[in-house]
Amino acid sequence: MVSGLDDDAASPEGPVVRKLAGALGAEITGVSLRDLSDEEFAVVRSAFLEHCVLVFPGQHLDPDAHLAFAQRWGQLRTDHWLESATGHPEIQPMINRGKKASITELWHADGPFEEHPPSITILNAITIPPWGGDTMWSNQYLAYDRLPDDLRERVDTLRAVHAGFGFEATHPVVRVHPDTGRKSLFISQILTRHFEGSTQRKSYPLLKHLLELATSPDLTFRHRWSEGDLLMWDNRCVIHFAIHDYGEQTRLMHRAVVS
Amino acid sequence: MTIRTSVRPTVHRLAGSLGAEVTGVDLAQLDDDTFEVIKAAFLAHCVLVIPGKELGPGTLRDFASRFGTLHTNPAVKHVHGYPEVVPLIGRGKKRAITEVWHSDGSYEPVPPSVSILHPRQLPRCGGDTLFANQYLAFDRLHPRMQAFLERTPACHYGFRGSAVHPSVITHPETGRNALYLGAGFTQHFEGWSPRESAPLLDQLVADATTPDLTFRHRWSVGDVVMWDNRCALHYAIHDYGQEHRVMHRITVEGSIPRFRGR
Repeated sequence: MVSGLDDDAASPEGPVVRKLAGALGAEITGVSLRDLSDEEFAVVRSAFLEHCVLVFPGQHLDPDAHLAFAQRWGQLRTDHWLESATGHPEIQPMINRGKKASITELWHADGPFEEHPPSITILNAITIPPWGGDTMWSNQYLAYDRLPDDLRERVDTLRAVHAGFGFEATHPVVRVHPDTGRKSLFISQILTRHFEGSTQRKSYPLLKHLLELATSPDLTFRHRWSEGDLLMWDNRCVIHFAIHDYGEQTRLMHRAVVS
Repeated sequence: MTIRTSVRPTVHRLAGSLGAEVTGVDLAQLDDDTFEVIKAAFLAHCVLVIPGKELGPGTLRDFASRFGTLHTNPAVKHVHGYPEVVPLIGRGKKRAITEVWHSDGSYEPVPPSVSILHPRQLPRCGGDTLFANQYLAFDRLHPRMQAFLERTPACHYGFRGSAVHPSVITHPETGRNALYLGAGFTQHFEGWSPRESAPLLDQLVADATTPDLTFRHRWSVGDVVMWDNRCALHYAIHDYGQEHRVMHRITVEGSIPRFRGR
């Protein structure tokens, strides 16, 4: 899609896209997200659809600029279960509540238990501990493509029940990305409870097997955060895992979620 | 006379459980004080990344030899003139035997203590290496599971032989106990069949490599990366298709793995 803009082909002025792992993830430099032209936005958008996770290092956006950039991707969520301390209900602060209280240290898509799960999550790294707190993503297009033929045909027909935080929703196990038209696996650890019409006990072996295949290291990218990073991922084709290995250290992210 | 530069070695951690980067050192002209900083950081962090300029095989060998006697094997292809330096050349994903959690040479009666890698050719992207801290993996186990593993050795098999080692080993330099199992070479507990061992072994290795015990390194030209096989497992991700990836590897001879009690 944007192969012509990858690596050395890009001009020094304007976006430079560099892949960060074999399966997904790319870094974009040479742009300021504060004043992204429509042409630059088109490049970023097509890189996003191709690489599923984009990192923009050194952006240091304030909540206003974060909000303005995020709004270019669609309608933003106003999640009131996270108190808003940023001046915008669309920008939620995410702080370190300790490892035991962490609810994101598992492979998951954001909000699979909702009828309409969010499409894109955009994080702004405000305070990062000196070490630890990496995030991992796994490419679920490739997870689906790599399934053995018989298993792929089987999961094509399955639907699964996802539950969490008092919500519950049923979705196909294989979904089609509205923009790319590609199929991807849609299962999360813990949050995906069972296949529709089956029990948790009966669903467990296949769910566990699918998750193992779907999170094989060669399908993943892992980001070590720096303050000022703006990072976005596509919940419609990736699952992610927030590693909690930084104890009680301060870590603050601002999050915007596109409906 | 030693010429001292104003640059001091700096160590900073790269993840919560293991891995640190050492900057401000030139491995081509290393004084003893700087080596002691590197050695102490290595024992503390299990994996070191030392970025710098590309090093020739002789310089890499001289640095490595500060950690002990270097391993040589006449049967293994090496860099001409440097029997200690082995070129690891990617042969495609299907033939990759390192894309699994393992400790180098655990199937040998005397496995290497330290492995040192230096890239000669890297793919444009991909080919990261994962490491997992096996001190912490052991510390996390229930005391009864620890006691079981302390008295139950495991059998390791490789293409150059097999060996039986304790499932928990005491690091000869730090004195700390570490889990010593893997997914690749470790096939069963002594006296148990592979079938009997598989469920427990799989679970132990999965718990020993959970993401919060790991560090993932993305390679750059000039990196020297070294890890301690006595307390870390590693996993070489193959996500770079047909692209070339060549590493120079040196291993330091170790000692017979032993458990020395708590």
